[in-house]
Amino acid sequence: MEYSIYKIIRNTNDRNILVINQYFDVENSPEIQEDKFDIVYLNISNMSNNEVGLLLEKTSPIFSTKCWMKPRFVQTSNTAQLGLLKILTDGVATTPFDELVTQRSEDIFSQMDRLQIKQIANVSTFVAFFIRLCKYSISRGDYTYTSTIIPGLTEGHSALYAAMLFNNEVGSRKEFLEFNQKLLELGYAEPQDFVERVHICPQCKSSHLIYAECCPKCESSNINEEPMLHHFRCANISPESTYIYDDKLRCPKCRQYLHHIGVDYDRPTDVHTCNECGHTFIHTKMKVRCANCGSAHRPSSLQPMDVMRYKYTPEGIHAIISNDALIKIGKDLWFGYSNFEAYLQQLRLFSHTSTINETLYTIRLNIRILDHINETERIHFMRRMHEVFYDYNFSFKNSYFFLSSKIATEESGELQQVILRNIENKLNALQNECPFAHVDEMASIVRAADENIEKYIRRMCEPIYQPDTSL
Amino acid sequence: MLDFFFHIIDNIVGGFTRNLSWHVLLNTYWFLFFVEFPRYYLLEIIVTCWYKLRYRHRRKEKEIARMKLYIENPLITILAPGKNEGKNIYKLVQSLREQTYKNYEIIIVDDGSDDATPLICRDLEEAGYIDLFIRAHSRGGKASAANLGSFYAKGKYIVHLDADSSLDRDALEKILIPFYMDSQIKAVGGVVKVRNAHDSICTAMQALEYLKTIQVGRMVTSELGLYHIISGAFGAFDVEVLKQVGYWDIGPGLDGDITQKIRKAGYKVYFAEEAICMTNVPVKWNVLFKQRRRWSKSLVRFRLRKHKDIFMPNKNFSFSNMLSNLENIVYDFGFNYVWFAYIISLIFMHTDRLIEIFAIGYIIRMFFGYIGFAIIQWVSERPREERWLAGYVPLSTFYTGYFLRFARLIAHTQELFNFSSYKDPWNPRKTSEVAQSEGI
Repeated sequence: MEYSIYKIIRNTNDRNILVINQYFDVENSPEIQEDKFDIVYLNISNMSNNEVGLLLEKTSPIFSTKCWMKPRFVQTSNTAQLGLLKILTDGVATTPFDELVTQRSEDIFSQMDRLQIKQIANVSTFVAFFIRLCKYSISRGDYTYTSTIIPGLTEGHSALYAAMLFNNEVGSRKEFLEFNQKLLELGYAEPQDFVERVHICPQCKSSHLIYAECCPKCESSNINEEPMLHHFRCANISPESTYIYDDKLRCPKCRQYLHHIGVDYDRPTDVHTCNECGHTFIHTKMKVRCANCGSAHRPSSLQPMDVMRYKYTPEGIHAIISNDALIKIGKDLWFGYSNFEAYLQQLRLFSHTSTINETLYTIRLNIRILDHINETERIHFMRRMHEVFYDYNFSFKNSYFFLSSKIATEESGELQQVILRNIENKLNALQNECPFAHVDEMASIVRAADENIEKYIRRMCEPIYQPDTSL
Repeated sequence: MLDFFFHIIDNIVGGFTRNLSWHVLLNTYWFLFFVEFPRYYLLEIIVTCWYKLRYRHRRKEKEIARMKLYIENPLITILAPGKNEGKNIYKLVQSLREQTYKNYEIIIVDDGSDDATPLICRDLEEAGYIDLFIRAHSRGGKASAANLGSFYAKGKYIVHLDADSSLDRDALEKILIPFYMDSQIKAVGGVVKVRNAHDSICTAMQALEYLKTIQVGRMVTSELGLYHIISGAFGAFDVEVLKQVGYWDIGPGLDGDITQKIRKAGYKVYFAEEAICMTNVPVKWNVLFKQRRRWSKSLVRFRLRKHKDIFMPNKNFSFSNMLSNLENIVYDFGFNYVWFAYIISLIFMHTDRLIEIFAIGYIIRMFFGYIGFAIIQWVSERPREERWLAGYVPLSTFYTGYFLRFARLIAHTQELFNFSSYKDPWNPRKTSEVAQSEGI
């Protein structure tokens, strides 16, 4: 195969396959249009893990507009990445002409044609996002769902559906559970069978719990276990270390050598000693820490939870594919939106978790909304904003809107222009729809390498803290 | 039938009238008058008088020592090793929580229990009633259990308790005071009294015996500097000294052994006559008989064999140590055989008037018994509560005079010729075998 960043090839069934050899932003590249390809094939053998991560996100059949529901395959010899690649991917194939690619794609296309799966405009709320997941699952002929353990990706039992997710940090478990509850209430899904019973954190419902033996006094895990030796002759009993003498066992009390277990000595018990507080004990205490929320619990306070496998009912399938599902969950937040404080916190968190290949960039928009418009219109505008910029971390403060995302470092300059143009186009379209809103300023703030995150946030929020009486 | 009784009464009265002269009485009952009376009554009366005379002075001394104790307020380790004692532990812990002296840690060692003891103790440990619960999965014997607990003791003193005992509110304080009276005192024994005295005649007799031999008897030996056994049920030891003497050795009779070892190391041992511990004693005679045989065997095994060097004029020789050992050996071992010969001789010499002889002997003993009881009442800190035991004094002739002596006689003979303490199931076989092969 000729080496290029990407290539579109045609297979025996006249399907166009987009073969990507190197990371690039498919979503924001104007030269590739949605109708130019039917199948996505990722040749990731020469990519780093970070590039693979970004590419999988950009070609996601859930999030991406261009790749929406399209079959996606990967080529890899790296089995360590398989756990990651299994998510929202239809298979692993050595070449794009592999029979698996052809066969599986045709199955998916026929399934989608048969069910007439409709696209939702954009993912803007959790429910919309969940429904997309359900649609994806149905389009792949999978009518059941459960929570499971995904090696290398999910921590503990994933939330329901998370098996289908690339980024399982999206949404909280509560929302997943609530959504599932709604599906069951509406008769869109029903329990199929029992999988297993697990224990979950009573606080955040996560099953990723870390069990550790610890000192019953100070709860430190820095404990040491040592066998006790009983010398029959003189009734001395002390830890084995007190007997070690010149690589032999010698009684510290009567100085006799120990020769034969059961005849002149035995090991009646093991004793633990805490290296932190010096406490000695026979029975360790078990402590449980939740890897998700960090809270500590006693094993007895954990909640047992039955993991079930659910299946969609015919009504459920019909409702989901035709966008008729009337589901509303308590905390149906706009997807990607968070209040300003939480948003800043997310940026800080991201700065800790991001790798050298990616950096943070933020688009700051100063949008002036005319005074005379009513509350309904204002909310409509906000909702549209969220819908349009669904794939950004999104927040606003005063009249400023912030859209943050991550970007591959080496492409930041070139890509920025593309992204800015893209955003401009979207904003123009939005302004036509909502003429009462006017974009006064648009700035792009990229985090420089080694820039302190606080400094970056200050730079980003500069105009907010200046006295402004325009609103 | 009636004639028979009248005949006996006539005999007794006749015996008195015929034999009432001092000469005849002393000649017949020489064992009572020349062996038992001087040691167990006369000496005790004299020492008790001395003790009472010095009582005020002693009290002042104790007050000062008590002050020193509370100023230093050292951490004390309470060590209770035992097997299958789970049901008693809570009672023990409860009595410890009532103590006036509060700075202590509790270590319970379970010597391979096969009942619910580990569960009970774990619960108590989790609830914070016990500081450390250590369980040996296989039984290693009482000495090893005590040593296991001692290894983890953080206190300056170890108070060794039997798991089935409980303490007076101030017992801990009282047993610690002597350490501050004299810096050479490194081990202190407490008074052990019977908690289940009302259970049967057997326990009542033991209650009386404990008062006589422990409360009075040990006070006397302690005053004379001959105190030689700190009861395993309640004793306090300086940890450093325990370490020096290598803690406990294989029993049975490890309490007497460790006291002897501390004495031999040149330290003083003391009896705290006001530190009261209550314990349960066997309710049935056969159990008691077995227990006493075990206790008695240790005299031969330890005092006659293991610590025979106490009589040797070596550099560690101490006259008081020798005397304390000698007193024990002579009275409890030697005179026991003499007593047996004496009884046999009485039977053979006075075969025709045996009933008369034993009846008069009984009356003399009973008289001595009441003298002994009077001393008990004088010494005891709770005479009123113990007064009811006076009714059992007439039975003490049979109990201490015959039953206990007989048990001792059998035990000593068995141990002397058969080394039977090494076969006692009180110790696990694995340790007994090694002890026997090593001759310890």
